[in-house]
Amino acid sequence: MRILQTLPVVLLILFADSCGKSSQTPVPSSADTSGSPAQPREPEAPLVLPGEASRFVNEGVAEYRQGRYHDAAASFEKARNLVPADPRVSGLLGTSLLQAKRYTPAQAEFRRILTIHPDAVEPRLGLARIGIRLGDYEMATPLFREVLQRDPDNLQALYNLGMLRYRAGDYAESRDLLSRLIILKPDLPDAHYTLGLAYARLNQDAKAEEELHRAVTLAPQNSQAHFQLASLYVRQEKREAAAKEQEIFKRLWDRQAADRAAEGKARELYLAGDYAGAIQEYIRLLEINPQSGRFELGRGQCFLKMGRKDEALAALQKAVALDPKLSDAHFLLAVLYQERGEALQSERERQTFEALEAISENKTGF
Amino acid sequence: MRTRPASRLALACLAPLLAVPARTLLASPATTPASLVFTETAQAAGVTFRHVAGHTPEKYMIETMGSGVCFFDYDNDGYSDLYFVQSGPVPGTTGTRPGSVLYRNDGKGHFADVTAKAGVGAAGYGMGCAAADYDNDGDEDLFVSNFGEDFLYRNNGDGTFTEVGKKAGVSNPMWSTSAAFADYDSDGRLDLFVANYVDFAMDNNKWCGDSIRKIRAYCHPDAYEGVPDSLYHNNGDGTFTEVGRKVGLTERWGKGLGVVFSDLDGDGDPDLYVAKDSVPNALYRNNGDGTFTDVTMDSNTGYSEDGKPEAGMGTDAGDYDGDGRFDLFVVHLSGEVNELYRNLGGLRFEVATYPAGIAAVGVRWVGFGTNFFDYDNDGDLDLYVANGHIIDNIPLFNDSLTYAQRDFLFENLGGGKFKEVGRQHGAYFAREFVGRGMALADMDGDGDLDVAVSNNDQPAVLLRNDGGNAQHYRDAIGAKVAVTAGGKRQVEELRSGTSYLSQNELVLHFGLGSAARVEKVEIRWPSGATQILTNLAADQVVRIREAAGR
Repeated sequence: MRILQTLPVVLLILFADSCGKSSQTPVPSSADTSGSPAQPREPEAPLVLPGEASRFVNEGVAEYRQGRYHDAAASFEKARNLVPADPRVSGLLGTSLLQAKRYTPAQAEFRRILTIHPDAVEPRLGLARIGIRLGDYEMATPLFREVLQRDPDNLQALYNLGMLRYRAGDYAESRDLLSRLIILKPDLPDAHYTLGLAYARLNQDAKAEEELHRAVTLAPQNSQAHFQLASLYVRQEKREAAAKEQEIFKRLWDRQAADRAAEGKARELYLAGDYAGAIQEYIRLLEINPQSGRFELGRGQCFLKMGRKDEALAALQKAVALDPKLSDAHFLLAVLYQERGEALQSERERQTFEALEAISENKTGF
Repeated sequence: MRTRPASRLALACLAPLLAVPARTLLASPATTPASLVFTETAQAAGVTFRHVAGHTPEKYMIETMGSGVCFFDYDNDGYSDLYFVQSGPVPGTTGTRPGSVLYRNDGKGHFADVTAKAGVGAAGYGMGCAAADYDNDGDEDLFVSNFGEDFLYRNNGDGTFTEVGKKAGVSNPMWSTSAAFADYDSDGRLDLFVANYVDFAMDNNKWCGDSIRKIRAYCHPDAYEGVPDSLYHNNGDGTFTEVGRKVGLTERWGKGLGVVFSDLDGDGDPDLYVAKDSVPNALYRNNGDGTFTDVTMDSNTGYSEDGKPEAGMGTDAGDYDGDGRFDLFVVHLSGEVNELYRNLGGLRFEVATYPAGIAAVGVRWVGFGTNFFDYDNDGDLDLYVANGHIIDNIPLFNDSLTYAQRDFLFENLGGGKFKEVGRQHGAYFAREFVGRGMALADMDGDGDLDVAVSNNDQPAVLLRNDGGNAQHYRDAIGAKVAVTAGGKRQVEELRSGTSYLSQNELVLHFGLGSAARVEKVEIRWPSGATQILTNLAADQVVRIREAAGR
């Protein structure tokens, strides 16, 4: 169960505000996701929201953190009504609506703010994300291109356009976009994964293999990369190598499926507010599978709910060490580090979170 | 652009030991006529079946499944009759139980309810059906899967049936879904595969939905454990023995919803493909010695292109790209894509979904019944998908989704590409239903394929194909037929099962484009014997008896 989803960059900063540290909110000028994790951005000029708008935004952020997207949207809408031309508040509203799968009003909000700020990047990204979710790739593709015209190093646009061009059969452009992305963000497993697929379609098997191995190195729990390596080796008639990768894929998939099934009781306790009971259940599950980042994340979320932040930090650090792709854990770590005044660490986690969430539209289900 | 009037050819194949009438319809085009229209005709044709799901506030998972529909010629008069499976009020509740319905076809597309006389009203919470002559007595028998014990109706040959499920050893108590007959061990007797779903029971119903907003919804199959599929070996004395594990069906996830037997590796025996809900699909290679080997991973047919299991519902096999190998198609849940697995030979497949142009169009739809078919007789296989969401209150969870959805008709453009063209061929394709089972037959004998759809808790739909015969156009299950006309070679095989909970008429139908004659028909019988016919006129139904020639 995913508790958190991506919000525009303003979110983390507003967390500080929600913790009562300041009513002034420093907001970056755009979704600047460039730069390496070791080089966080300089803080930018603070944004001053009217007091009531700030309160609604903080309420919305708190609801969003709990996965209450409908409630968050309602709070952000109140704030938006007070500051209708503010692109960041509009972005929060649009993103909450998107996460609540209320695509019609989400689109309307993104389009509204574009009429006021025609060069804005965030609403275009929001609309493009909706396009992917609705299967409207013809809508999403030009929007990502427009984003890249305005922000050539936008990670989300580079990844998603690379993926869309792959799906459209333009493997060369997909390769080019994803290669650019990897220069900017070399530690993004999904970029290497999708680039590997593009190379495979271009019959550049050696490069495909290299990228897929890189994806595995970055995220050893990445069952999909092992799946693709197995497929590649089957195609190359490398039976032994294929069998090895198939075995790893099956083991990882089995474990992930078993973890998902086993987690049911812990999540039920969590949702019922029995955080101590949920922690005990997660400890039991970790005795069965000590390699599950997912269980550590669950434990960390419970500690957070109980206000035991040091224990939450330790659990979340273990979670991302076990599974670097757990975007929710990176998000919560960014918040915790920021609260502790560790800006460098916070920024690193925020960037990792954003990069991982750049592929969130690939997810399947209802 | 048509240069000649409609014409057709049908082949009827009779395998002596099987004594099953098998027809091969040979039909001839170039482009799809704009005037081709599918006309909704259920009421006019006398089909008043309405599926009852028995929806309750408890949202029992079985209420989402809908039911199947089978075309089969129960009275051996040469016309495909129609059977709709009924579900009904969920077990434990009171109320009238309407029962399944058998309609007799008068040969002109008009149907009369003969259920009471035939004795096939099936009183369980029904799921799917499959028909075949399992006892080799010359008439088609009927299997009905249920949530609960399954039924096997033996055809008495006089318009009546006798339920023999328990006696025959196939009254499987698990929640079963799709079924298919095939002679997997080549002993001349049709065996039976039954896909089983999950361990849901009325007394272990879980609460699923949005706990924050307290909105209840139907559970995802992840909420329950899967149960293993069943393969029943036909003992030849009217009984079957379950042999799944013994012969190599080792896959353990369960959750099967669709099944197709098809000779995917071209070695003359039926391989087995099972579409599974949210767990990996399963492909079993028939080893030719009565056993199977799980080749899912090597074949690349178990997962999406990204290595993710998807919510497999209905499935079918067909040679859409004309390379002589049967490809696979599986339809899925919204948020996923309907996967097209292109057969590369040697039981290896590539995911061709995106290159085929069928991915994006399906993202917001939930596919169930599906079939490859040449609706316009232009000589290549098109696709039909019956759509309808699972969750009746889905708009509360996602405002881009609807419960009732329109169906898809994909035209094969050639070059491995498809285009969704439904709304160009009838107002029906703009209407929204909760589609589930779907089957094909030339129910009015006019040389083109018509469609029956069973909708969840809604009236059934019959779509009469008007104009599909403007171009030129076979039962021995497992028979593989190659038709060469106008220099083009097409292959098909006669299958039971396919789609979702449903079965097509046991007739093979070939569109011949503009060709007025068929140069050659090559038949490989289930016995392994081959037969060749030459120089046949188009636009006719031809019945062929094995070894005896035409």
